[in-house]
Amino acid sequence: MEQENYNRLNVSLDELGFNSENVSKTWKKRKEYYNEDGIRVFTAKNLGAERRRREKHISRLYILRSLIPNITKMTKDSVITDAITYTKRLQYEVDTLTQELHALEEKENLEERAEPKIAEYSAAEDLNNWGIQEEVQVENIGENKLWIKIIIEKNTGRFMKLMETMNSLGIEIIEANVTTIKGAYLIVTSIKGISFDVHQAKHLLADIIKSI
Amino acid sequence: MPMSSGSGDKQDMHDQTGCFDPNTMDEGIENSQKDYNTNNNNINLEEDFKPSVEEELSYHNPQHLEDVSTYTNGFTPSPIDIEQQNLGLNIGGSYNNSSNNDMDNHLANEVYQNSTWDPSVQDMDYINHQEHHQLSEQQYQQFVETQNHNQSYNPSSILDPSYSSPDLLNLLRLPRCSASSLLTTPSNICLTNPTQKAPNFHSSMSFLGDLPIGSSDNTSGSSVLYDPLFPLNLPPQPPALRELFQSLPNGYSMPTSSRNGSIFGGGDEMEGDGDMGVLEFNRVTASVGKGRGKATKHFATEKQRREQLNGKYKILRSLIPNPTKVDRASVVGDAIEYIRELIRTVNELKLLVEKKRHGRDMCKRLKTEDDAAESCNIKPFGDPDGNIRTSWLQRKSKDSEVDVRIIDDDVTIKLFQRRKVNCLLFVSKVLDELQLELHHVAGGHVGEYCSFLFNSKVTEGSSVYASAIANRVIDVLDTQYAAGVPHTSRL
Repeated sequence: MEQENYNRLNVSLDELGFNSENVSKTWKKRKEYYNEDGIRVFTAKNLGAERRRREKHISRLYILRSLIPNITKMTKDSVITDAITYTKRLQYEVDTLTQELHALEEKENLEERAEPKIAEYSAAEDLNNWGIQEEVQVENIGENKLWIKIIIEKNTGRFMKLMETMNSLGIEIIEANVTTIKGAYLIVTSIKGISFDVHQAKHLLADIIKSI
Repeated sequence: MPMSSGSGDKQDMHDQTGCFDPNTMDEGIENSQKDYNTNNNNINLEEDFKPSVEEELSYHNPQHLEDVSTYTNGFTPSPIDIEQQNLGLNIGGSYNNSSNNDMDNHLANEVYQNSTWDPSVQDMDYINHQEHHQLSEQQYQQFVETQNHNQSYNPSSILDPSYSSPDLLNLLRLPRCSASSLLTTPSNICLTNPTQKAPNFHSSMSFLGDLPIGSSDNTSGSSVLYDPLFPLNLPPQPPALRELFQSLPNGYSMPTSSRNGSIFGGGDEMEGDGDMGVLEFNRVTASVGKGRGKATKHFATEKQRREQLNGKYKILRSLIPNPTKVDRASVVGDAIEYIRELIRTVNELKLLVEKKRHGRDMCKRLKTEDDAAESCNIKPFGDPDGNIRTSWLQRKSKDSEVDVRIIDDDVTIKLFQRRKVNCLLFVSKVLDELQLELHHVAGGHVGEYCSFLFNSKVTEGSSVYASAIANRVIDVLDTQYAAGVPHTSRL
């Protein structure tokens, strides 16, 4: 009964040209028939799907309601309204905090120049301590595909430079795996797009590493 | 906060607003007086108001210029702003009461002579205010706290039930709060009296969106829904709105922004046969039922309500960064995710700010004790509550998805790109720029896609936060792709 009324109302609205998504969707699924009184009545063809969709919607509204701190009215509208307010407020807070953070950061930058810099972590030391050697290994794994293993000393920005150089040479990386061990980068990649053979590639890479 | 007042009514109003920001309350009371004045005499606010204000400007107390400056702080001036400024000056002057008793009395007299406020309307306002009092008060207290306390905008003042003419008050105050949202007003509801100089008013106030005019003759039950405060659930709640509707005399209408002032349903309904609205209703009334008056009245408000609700869904959707589907359920779902993300971000930022504030002092202290190298690794004790900073968010763009998780110092970035761009290169660039130390990378190309995982550590002292990382990465990827960086040649 309620469903019927609901549908009737939706139909009326639809006839008036109002399109809420719900209305238009149920409209399409409607099957028209005449009930006993001869009055045109519409029902949705798949009440099940409609009901499920409504349940999904309502349950999500409940979750939304649970997130929001100040709600007074428990109606659907007010949940949405409060959600809007709350979101805007949170966004505002994020902005404020971000600005504050930036301001603090700038202040800190200005101050830090006066202070002596902290001694940087020396990767080379670590390498020596642990007996890790720099190394390049290249294997051929198919048509124009090479498998490369590189161990290099870890310094800031070194990996990026390696990538840059490789990119500029037209080397395409199929997959990559990089880990950090005690001051060294272990880089294992499969590459393609380079037409050198193994030895040439090895020399090329050694040169690259020296240059970065 | 008790204030001197000339009448019992005012005293009541003051008592009720005890918790609000005193500044705005002062001005608000005077505003309401002013509003009575202009409301009842002049529909065309701008033209008539200015001269009267300027007249009274001569009385103004220069001390209160300060208040005015806060009004115009950060907002681009507009005619309303200037008016408000004048008001502010005036208010300060008149309220000061030192040399302005005459003006005050004059105003008060005018108010009571011209007051045509309908008690029923007042009740409605009161009801609404009561309903929203709790809700908004807390919210806006917080809101106000987070704002610069010099800013004049205090939304809570608008809910002040003492303001018996909320429409004009809002009219004057609301534009200040967010000029940008003026441009994004999807829906407004206002009651206007079409028979009275409505067009003039609309044109002069058009930049504010639809605004109500208090009627000069009788029950104008005006209620304002103005977009910056729209989500604040100001006045019409549906039941109140319906009552309102029923209390409207003939000739009143309820235009919505979608119809731009065209008359539909509303007042016409009550008259019986009307124009366009009712023509269509004829078809409906047969199916909706008998009893035309009541059913169609409810029908119209139902429609109204439904439109309102849809508008709200749209607004919610517009707030969300990555909206995917348009339907309501997914809007709500996205909103849930987004609100959770916002909460996480706020917590993260708060923690960072705290760390920044305390960390500096801590670091200095530590350096004097140990080696420089040691102090780098010691986490500052400055954490007020010992929380570890955590954060997680996702950003999606057309071709890429980024997932950034931060736990304390470790940053994990997951990347999924639907095109073949040299992701590794660009992302490692970004990481360097953000001072993130790369520890681990894994990933590769799979067909048309590439997917990578980056583990890195935040350099000590850097206060980079999750959304910054995510946004940078997404930007870089998108711009690089858009710039058509030629991918490496394939052989």
